[in-house]
Amino acid sequence: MNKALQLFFILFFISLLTHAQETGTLRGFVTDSLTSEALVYANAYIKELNKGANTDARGYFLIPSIPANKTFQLIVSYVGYKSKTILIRVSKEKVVQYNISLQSEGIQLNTITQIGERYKEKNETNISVQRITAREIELMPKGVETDVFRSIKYLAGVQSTGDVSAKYYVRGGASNQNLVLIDGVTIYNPFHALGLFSVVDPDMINNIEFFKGGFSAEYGGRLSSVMSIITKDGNKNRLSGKATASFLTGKILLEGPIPNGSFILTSRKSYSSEVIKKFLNEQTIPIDFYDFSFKANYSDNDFLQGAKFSINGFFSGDNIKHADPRIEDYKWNNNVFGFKWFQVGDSPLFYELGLSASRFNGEVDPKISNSRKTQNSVEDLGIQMNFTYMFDNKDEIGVGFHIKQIKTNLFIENDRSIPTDLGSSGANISLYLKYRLMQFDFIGLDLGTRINLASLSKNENRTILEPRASLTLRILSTIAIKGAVGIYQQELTTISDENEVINIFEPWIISPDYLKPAVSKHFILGLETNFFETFNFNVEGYYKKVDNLPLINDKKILPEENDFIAGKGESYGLEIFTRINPDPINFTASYTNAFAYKEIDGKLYYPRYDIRHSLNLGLEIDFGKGWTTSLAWIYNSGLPFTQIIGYYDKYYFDNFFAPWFQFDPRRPFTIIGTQNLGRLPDYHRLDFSLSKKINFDWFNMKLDFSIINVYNRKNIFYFKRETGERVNMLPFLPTATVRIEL
Amino acid sequence: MKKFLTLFIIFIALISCEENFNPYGELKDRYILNCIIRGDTTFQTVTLTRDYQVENFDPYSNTEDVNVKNALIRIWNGNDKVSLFRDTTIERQVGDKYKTPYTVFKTNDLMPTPNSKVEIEAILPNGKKLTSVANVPDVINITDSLSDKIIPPTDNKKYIKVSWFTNERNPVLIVRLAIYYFKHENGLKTRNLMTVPLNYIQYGNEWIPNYPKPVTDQAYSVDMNTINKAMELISKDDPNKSRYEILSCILEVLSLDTELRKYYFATARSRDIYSIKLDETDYSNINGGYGVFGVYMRTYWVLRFTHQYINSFGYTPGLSDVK
Repeated sequence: MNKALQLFFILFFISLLTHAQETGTLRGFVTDSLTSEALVYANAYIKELNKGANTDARGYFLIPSIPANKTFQLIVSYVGYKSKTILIRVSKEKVVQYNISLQSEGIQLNTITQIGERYKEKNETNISVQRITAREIELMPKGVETDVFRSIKYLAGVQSTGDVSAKYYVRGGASNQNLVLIDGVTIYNPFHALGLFSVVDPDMINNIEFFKGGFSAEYGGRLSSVMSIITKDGNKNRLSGKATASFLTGKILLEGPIPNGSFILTSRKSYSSEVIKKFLNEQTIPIDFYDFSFKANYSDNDFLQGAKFSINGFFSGDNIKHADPRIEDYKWNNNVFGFKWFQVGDSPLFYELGLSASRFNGEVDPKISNSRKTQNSVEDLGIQMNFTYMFDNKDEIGVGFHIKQIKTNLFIENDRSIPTDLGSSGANISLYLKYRLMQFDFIGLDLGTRINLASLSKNENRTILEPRASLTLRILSTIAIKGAVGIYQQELTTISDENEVINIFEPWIISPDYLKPAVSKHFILGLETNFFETFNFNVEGYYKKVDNLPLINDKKILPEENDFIAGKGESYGLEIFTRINPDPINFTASYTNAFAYKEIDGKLYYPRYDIRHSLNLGLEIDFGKGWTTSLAWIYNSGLPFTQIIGYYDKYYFDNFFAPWFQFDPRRPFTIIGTQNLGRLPDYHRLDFSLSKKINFDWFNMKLDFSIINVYNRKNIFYFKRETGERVNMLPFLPTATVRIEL
Repeated sequence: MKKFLTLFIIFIALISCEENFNPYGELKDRYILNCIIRGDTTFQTVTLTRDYQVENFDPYSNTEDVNVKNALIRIWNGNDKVSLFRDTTIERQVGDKYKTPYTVFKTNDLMPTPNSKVEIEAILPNGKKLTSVANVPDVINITDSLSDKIIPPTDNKKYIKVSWFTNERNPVLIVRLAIYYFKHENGLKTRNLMTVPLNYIQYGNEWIPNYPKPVTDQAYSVDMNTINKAMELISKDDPNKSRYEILSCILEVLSLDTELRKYYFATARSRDIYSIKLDETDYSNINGGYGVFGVYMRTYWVLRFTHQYINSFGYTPGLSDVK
């Protein structure tokens, strides 16, 4: 082992020396020629050197160690775009920038230009990462309308407790263990309408990076997953707009150039809650919601060479108002604001400064009752700075710090009318360091740690170091073994009860001082194969253990009792994913075999989202001439549920003052068995979607027709214990949207 | 192609069906004992029932009587005084899902002593034993000097207030303010009461009462506007006001013992109308079964109306005038 290590370090230093001096560096941005929108994960490939890079989430790429003063052909390619070949030349020890714009060939998959030579990062450390572009989201089957959170449920390892809620559970983790970032800013309750839809309008998205686990050191604060949503910059070339109408919402998008930059505005508003009845067992809910986002960016080399500034905002709100004063009113909203300064310099160093503010407010107004309003607020102010330096040998070093000042307030009464009044604030100061070893084609290593210098939690037993590692070992040109390990800490939690399959919103709080912050450990091992250009086959196994998991104390009866008790969580599973995509077909299949457990007070049980077997099949076909179709079939083995042992007539204090003989104050109450020991019947559903794009002289129109649950499978959602009524999930539901693009 | 289509249709028809689903686990015999000891009477009752299942999963459809008879029930009160309960049956009200009379065990010689311990033991005909213990709470003492006695208050206040003290730690008190009156109709005099809420909210033409939740404070006050509205509503839509003979207003305060308090909170659910929770948690202090054994103490305070106030509504005073 020691010899192997010595050899490794000798090779490492030799490679550092040999790459020095006689070379230069190429960098650039790849964008859409029509809109100037960044093209993420595009290929930049130098033919003569057989080397290249993929663009990142900003459309940025960097290729070091290019022999100086020689001319090479750079081929830039991206799915759905015409490849472009340009001649490049770099100077010794200089960084030369080429910005390349590619011309779209439309969404038609069968018209894609063969992109020829493609550069593939053979040693990329990307286990458990799903990169989804706006185009891929569009092609997925829609429900009522395209929804990012619903779309990711087609991925292996992502589970849900049914098709009613947009909430998702990743690899046995609870829904509050998922971090959702919009342009780097945390959004706390990213749901509209009781969690039925996400607040993120898909039209504003450029791309999504979704980490199912094993995420690297620059991400922190959650135990299970990270969804990083990068929004569009807006069209830099011309003013354009879109208007879309579905059964649920109407929305508009406006984008265009500004001096040295661009802007984009999106706005969505619900106008009918009729379709929501299908999600809520035909219950009418007078809900009204909206979301609005904007982004503007500015880049002027005369002002500051190599700098790009952007500001973005996101606002969403939901209201449920009842005329009847006996029924509560509800409202909740998110306000998110961010500023970014991305800077590239004369060396292969780039850095990004981010300022952010995120605020969530939720309120339940009891109106006539003498109860206080239920209120929850989260104020999150953040500053972060990330530096990345790429060596000539392609190794990278990343350093950054994140400062978050978070204040949470909560007043709530549980379902036994017991009040909880919690308020807390604190600062989390984290530093991260990471080193990416990328110089050898057969191995990639991402080694780093997060160092918590100050924590939100006042509990002294918090975790200071969160070390993480991700490894890719390419044993054959077509086969790679990948793995990741890491420690993750979460200091915020929600007052949420997994037995509540529908709730208004989940209030966030800083973990109470009497609990240690929750910590999870991830162990992931996978195999990636690429035998053919159009065939991928990946297998991943994972094991996740969570300690100090804050779980609702459902035995709390008296106000002085704690709201949470510490539990444990454990999950493991195997995920198999395959993609076959010869043009114009894209077929995906994923299978997950998963196990999840929670332990509270020494009692072990399956959480509500523990699905033993999941199979997702997806087929997308592009018929050309603007016609596309998709089919998705989902199969899940039964969800856990708690069996009914029987009933008894329970004594209720309807009226303390009534004479004892006047009435029998007893009503049936369910005696339940061991928690979640039973299983509901299996779930399966087929969804269908058909789209047609029609181009007119001065506008384009897109028509989408979708059917959820084509064969009207009666998947059970839950069983009303009080009445014996079986409540099913979504029935056969045809929906349509129309979009006009100017 | 035809074959394939037929197979496909059969397959779809099969998988689209609603799968049978049985939510039941194995039923085990469980027994439920309910006994709420009242602090203002020697008459106490106990009920004993058993659990059940129903075929259609709707528990309200059960009509088979679940009462348990012939049990031996004893309560030890303080200094080893034992009260024995005898069973009797009571006719049910019209419309009750159970058609047979229900069984109640009763005694007429049990008066709990404040700050003492009471223990219950029920031995069922099959030999199964249910037991529980409760601690009798302290009494509530109304503070005469800090409490109003007359409505309307003599010092032109816009509210009435009654104060008390207790040695109970974290007391949970149930209060009720009610106006007692007679209604004369067809030569008959019937005794009625109108509960005075905390306030009223107007919704269209309707006045919706908002009743108080359990209080932990050492005083209770109600706005005079609310009392006025309650007085008005006594004779709502009845032009013949004089046939209402107003007696007095009584504030009752019940002090719950710890076990009753826990059980009460466990049953008084207040979830919003949209949230759906699958598994309700239960609370019981009965060893070997379900139900509740607890004690509450009752205190009351009389507030007298002035004749002038009663007359202002057109009603008839039923008691002598107060100044």
